[in-house]
Order: sequence, then C-alpha cells, then structure tokens
Amino acid sequence: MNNLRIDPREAIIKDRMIAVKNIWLVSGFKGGIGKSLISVAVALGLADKGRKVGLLDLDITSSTDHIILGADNLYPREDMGLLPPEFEKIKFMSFQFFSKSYPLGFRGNSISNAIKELLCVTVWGELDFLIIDMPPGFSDTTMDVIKLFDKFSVIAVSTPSPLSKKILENSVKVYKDMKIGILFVENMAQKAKINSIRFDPKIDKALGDVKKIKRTQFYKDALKIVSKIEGGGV
Amino acid sequence: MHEWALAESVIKTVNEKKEFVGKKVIVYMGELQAIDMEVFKFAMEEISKQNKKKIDFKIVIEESKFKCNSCGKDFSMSEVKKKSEEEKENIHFIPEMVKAFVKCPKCKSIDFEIIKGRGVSLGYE
Repeated sequence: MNNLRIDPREAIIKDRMIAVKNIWLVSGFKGGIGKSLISVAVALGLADKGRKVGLLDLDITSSTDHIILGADNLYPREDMGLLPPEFEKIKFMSFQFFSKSYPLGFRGNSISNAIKELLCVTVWGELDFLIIDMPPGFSDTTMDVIKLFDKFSVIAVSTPSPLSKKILENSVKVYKDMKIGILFVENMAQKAKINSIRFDPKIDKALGDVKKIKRTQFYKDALKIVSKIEGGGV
Repeated sequence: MHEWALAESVIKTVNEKKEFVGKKVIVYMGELQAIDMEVFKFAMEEISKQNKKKIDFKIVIEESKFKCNSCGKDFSMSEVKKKSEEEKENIHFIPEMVKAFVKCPKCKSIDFEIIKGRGVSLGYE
C-alpha cells in the first residue's frame, strides 16, 4: 500500500457536460451588480424561446437564484446521479437545495470539493444552454470552472460605477488571454444602449414571482441579451 | 442512485490512469458520504461488465476527522449532535454540507476543516 490518493471525480465532469451545447458564465467580479438577476432572466428568456436550458447557481455561500425564481422547495431526484429539478421549463441546480437556510463557512478547499462533487453527480442531459451564475471575484470557483470545463463563454456584467468597470476590465484580461468569448453587459444603465439593461426600481418587488419578473423593463431589456447569446453572443 | 455516478467516475479514472495498471484498487469511502455499499458494488460490477474490463478493488471506510480553525479542536462526527435524516442525506450528496449542519463541539464555530473522511478517493496496493 502507498499514500497516493487520486480524486476520481474530475474524470467524469467533462462527460457530464457532453450534451450541453453552450455554457455561459454570468460573471462580474463585484458583488451586488445583478449577476443573479441576469442569470435567471437569461435562463427564463431562453426557455420561453423553446431552448433546453439549465441554470446552475455556483454562488455557493450566497445562493439567490431560488429566491428570484420563487423556487423554495425543490430537490434533485436520484437516478444514476442527481437530476436537476425543473422549474419554469429550466433544469435548475443550486447548493441551496442541500444547505437549506444555514450559513456555509467555506474556505478554498471546501469550495473546490463541493463544486467538483456537484458537477460529478449532476446529470444535465441534453441542453442548448447552461447558464452559470458565478460568485463575485476571480477566486476558487472561477479557477475551478476554468480548469474543469473545456469550452465556455462569459457574460461579463458591470454597472455604470467606475469601480465596477475598473475591476471588470482587470479581471477579463484572463479570459481574453484564454481566447474565451466575452459579451459585455452593463446593468443598471441610466439609458438604453447596446448590451445594456436599464435600472429598474420595480424589479425588487417582482422577486419570487416569475410572472411579475417577465412584466418588468429589466426582463424586457434582458431579452436583448438572450437574442445576442442565441446568435453566438460575442 | 447517485452511487452510480460515483462508480462511473471511479471506473473511468482507473481505466485512464496508468498508475492502476496491474494493481488492486483501493476505494476510500469517507464516512460523511455514507455511500450505500451494496449499490456501489453492484454499480461497479455492472459498469465494468459494460466496459468488458473487470476491476479488482476493495473498499476502505474512513472515519471523518475535523479541525476547528477557530479554537484548534480536533473532532469527529461521533462528537457532534446527531443529525436528522434530511441533514444526513444532504451531506451524503455533497459532503461539504456538513458545514451547514455541524459546529465545533468546543467553541461552536462553523469554521472548521474536513481533514479526512469526506468522500471517495482512490489508491492502490
């Protein structure tokens, strides 16, 4: 016997994604700029257009996609792995299904292990698009995704704030160096522009109700992003 | 049966890594993951049959060990309050979820490391 230890999970993760045609990370590096809202809106918009869509909330310690959707009591089903529950025609997976409302005190290694475990056992099946809601910052989750996925594109979210734009500018250099496709989206914009979503004070009151979300200006603007990524996006 | 998904990952890794050629594979099973051994063994056999490649393996169960980052206490699952079936199932799927349901028995901190016994890993002899 020797002390060698090999993690078997990484070998299967790429296989799990084999029938996923397009993976989009919704990333933004600053907190509170609307990544989760955009992730959910884009997933809803794609599903409404008849696309097979998955939504994965990888913001492990601060998952909110289930709150935005009003999807409180979902749980995956076991069948040769974990099958994401379907909500509003979206296959949805979140760490919140397992952590419930308890806080998760995660340091780096735990984040990597949890992500690998979830990606190893989740059976997405055939998808046109998998939308991944990323946590803020260029940290463990981002580096794990880069390591574990062969191909993906990025919706890079910023706001009109110079802080948000500056940090995004610095962070996307990594993606650019890797020749990864990037679609820049400005959220909370003051007026309508290309690839922008206008600030909508009504969006907070629509949280948890998909019908209300779909009536907001925010959602209508997000549909322009949907059309863009349907066409390849970048 | 998410044991099938884990068995698939074990078999793919063993078939791909040269370290395992001609060796008996040791599948270390962390206590936290609480794998159903019969289902796992059955899945290993069935997937091996499909691949037409038998794998010689044995399973070693590893007790969980934690270390508190706050007060330094070493502890195990046997020292913490018994978990409900629902909590156990959530830890079974994602062992790191132990951090949602367990606190250090000495200082009650949620900041602790899983030192061993989390999930599946492989070795050989």
